Amino acid sequence: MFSLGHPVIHFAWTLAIALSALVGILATSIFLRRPVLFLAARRSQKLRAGLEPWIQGLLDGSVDYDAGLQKLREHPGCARRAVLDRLPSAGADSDAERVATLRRVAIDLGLVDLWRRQLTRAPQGWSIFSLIDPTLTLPERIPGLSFVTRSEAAQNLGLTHEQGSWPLLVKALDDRHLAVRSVAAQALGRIQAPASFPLLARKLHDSALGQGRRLAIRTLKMALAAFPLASASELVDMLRHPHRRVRFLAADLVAAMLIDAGSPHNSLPDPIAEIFLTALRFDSNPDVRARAADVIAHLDDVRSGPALLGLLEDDEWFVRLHATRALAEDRSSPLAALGRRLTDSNWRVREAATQALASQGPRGVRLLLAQFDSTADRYSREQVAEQIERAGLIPSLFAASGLAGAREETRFIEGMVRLGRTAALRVALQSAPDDKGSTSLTELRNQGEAEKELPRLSTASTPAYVAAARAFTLATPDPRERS
Amino acid sequence: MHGLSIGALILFNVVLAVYFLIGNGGYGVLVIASWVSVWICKRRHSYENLQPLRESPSTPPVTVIIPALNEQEIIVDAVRTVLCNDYPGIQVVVVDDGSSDETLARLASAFELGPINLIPRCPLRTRPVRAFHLSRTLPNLMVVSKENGGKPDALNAGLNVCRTPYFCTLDADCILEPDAILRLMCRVVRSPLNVVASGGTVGVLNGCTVAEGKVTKVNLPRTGLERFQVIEYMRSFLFGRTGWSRMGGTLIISGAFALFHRQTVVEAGGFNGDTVTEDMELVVRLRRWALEHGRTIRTAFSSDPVCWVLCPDTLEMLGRQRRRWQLGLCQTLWKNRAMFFDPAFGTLGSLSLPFHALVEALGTVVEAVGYIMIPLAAWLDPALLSFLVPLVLFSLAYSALISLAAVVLEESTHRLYPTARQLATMLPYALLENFGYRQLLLWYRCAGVARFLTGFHKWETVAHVPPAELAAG
Repeated sequence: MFSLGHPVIHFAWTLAIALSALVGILATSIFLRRPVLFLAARRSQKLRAGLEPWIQGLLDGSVDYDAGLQKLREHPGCARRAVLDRLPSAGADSDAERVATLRRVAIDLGLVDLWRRQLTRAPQGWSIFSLIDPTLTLPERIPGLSFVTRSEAAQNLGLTHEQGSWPLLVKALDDRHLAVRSVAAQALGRIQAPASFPLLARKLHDSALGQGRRLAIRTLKMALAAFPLASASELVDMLRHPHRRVRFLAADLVAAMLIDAGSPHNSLPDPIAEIFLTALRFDSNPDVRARAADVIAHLDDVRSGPALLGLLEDDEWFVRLHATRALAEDRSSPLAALGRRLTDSNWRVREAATQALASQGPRGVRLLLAQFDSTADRYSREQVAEQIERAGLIPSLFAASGLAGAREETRFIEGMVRLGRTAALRVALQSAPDDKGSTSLTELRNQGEAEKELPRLSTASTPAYVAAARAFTLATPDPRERS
Repeated sequence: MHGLSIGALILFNVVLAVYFLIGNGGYGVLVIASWVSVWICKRRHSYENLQPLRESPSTPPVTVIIPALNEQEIIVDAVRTVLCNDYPGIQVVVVDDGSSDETLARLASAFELGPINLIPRCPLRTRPVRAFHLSRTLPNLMVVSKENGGKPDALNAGLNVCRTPYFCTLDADCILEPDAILRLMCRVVRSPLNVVASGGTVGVLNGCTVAEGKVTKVNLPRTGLERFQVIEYMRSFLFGRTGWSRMGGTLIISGAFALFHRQTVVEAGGFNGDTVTEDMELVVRLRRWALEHGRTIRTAFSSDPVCWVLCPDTLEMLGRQRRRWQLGLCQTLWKNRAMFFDPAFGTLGSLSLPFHALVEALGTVVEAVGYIMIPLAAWLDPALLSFLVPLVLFSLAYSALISLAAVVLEESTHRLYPTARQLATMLPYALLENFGYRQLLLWYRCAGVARFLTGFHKWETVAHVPPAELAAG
């Protein structure tokens, strides 16, 4: 069928030989490439090592500015550009003074102009000669990869906080490549030019409604949240927007800005605070009401307390959840209102309420113990017990139980035993003094191991026997449990 | 009769040639697709600043779930590698899946665990939980001790206590890169689409030096068996997974370390124990579930190295691992056969699943039979040699080319093995991979296919003993 002279055989041999040759060439080229790469890396490293002290000296002011700048200008060529393109990273995320110096150096070296040109360079100008154009970087020479250069340029403009570049960056929000749009949004968040906030917010609005070029909502939110709180006044229209998704994202953004700002009571612009207090807390969309709770908790307004208490009784469980968590952050919260959420129909709200109360310190813990003792709701009791265990309060409650004036602690420990929640008690028992044996007896009886503990109790003092006898009476189940 | 046999052999050899053309052609496309992706991924470091994500209060918290069965030697290091990871808001849940060794005791001793009675809230059914343990010193660490039920069951138990919107699965024998979670989350946060699963490249830990839960020095392993796996991992992650991800046909995100959206996974039913590769099964099921529920979801893959995993260092363990992988592949493909050629599933249904069925599953059998048929054909009709020799040469050279290309790609981008000596060591292994190692793997894969056909469904555990470097570290 196939003779040696058959064209298929010829073709197969040719392919096999060509491929084998290619393998050989590839293997050889890897080896040959290595020293070239090594030399280039060494050159770059040497240059970086030489320039680094000057860059750092310029940034911290220990080097004369003109002399430092002259030194940076001395090195021509691609390697210098490769080093200086990374210049912003040297001063990124440092204090404002260093960033200002960094910006000045970048401007004086012509880097800012270069980055601006790169960011706005039209990709249509590409031709075959671009491949060998020494003024272009590798990504710029290859069609379709120029977005890398634009992204790097946007990143550098952001890192240097170059205020004058914000219009270019806003324009880059509509770049045809997602990476450039994302980096431009982050850069705008760093620069924080007041005029760019509404434009960035507009982009959030468009993204929420699926209009225009897509950009990740989270990326936009992170960028916008970095702006000062005063900028939030630009969000009035979005907060009053007829579309619930836009309202939700705007409310979510204000909440994020408040968290970013850090201060518990700060100056959210009045019109915005008013919208939250008068409109958004009654919004038809529960997601918006939930975010409203987060924001209202941060407002320094007499109406915020009642508003939060209202949201605490909302029909939707996650609105109540947000309101509970929001109240947890305020030490002056009315504990009784939080206490009512301990019997909420949703376990997440119950959990949040126990956490909120536990975070309020002794006041909250006492309310939890009282709730545990008084409620007939088993779910509520279990939730309180879990939180007390999680908070690591069992050893201290165990130590206090049985003492005069520690009725709630004693009843809590007994209740824990009844619920069968003995894991943490067992640990507490191991380090407890003998006269705390009353509860241990009950616990071990439940586990069918009481006889193991009896020898230890026999050495205990008389009050321990009294307490132990009392603990035995727990054998009768609590009538409330039956309900 | 003789003529008929010759005819059948010729026909088979033509089938073999077509199989090679489709398979190798497919790999060729993957090489091109992934080359661009890997290069972009590498360049991304120059413009993608992770600092805002690290600092933002909007960055979603993540729970890392570590299922562990008899991992007493490595479990403490595994937890430490997560705890020291550079990510804001990490919760760690270790699920002790009924270990018979000291896994739980060592965790308790290292992290001062204390028992706690948690209210069981289980959206996903699992084997009974024995106890919950919280660390007294680290509030973000919880250990769930349960009866043995397998890795998917352990992951589901972890999911039941997970409260964060995203979670990571992490094998106990993995060491994370310091910013691994941040990198995976970056793909989620920066995407305008709903990314519900995100994964990255896994490197071979054997031979590396580990200190304080981090890989401090990357070295090649000592034995040939492990070094072949280094090349194989490079090819698989840099070409296979990156290429398919580029084309939107991701079939698997390595369960060794991956990030998932909790609610989506729970709604889709959690991890499923009816296949032995729960990661692959979940990724495919998520796509099917999304289509059935009218959701648009996306999976992301980053060719950045995000974690290091111990690979088998003995033939027995390698055999166990590869049989399981092949069995899991066949099970997943069979289970989702309705998705084949369904354009509603995009590249996954139209290309990825059929390609994996034809080349990775069925191809195993074709290749194995080929090793018998080619010599047989040559023996029966020596004239066929003129066709068969170049065919075999071509396939070997092509396979070597793919492996070499993986080394070149790694060398030009991430360069995890930076010294010339390491490169000189890797190249012969890339060239020689097709002479012995490939056939060894084929043997294990055939065993996996046989197990699938006979209905064998058993999870073969791969035991790891930490290499000396790790212990020293």
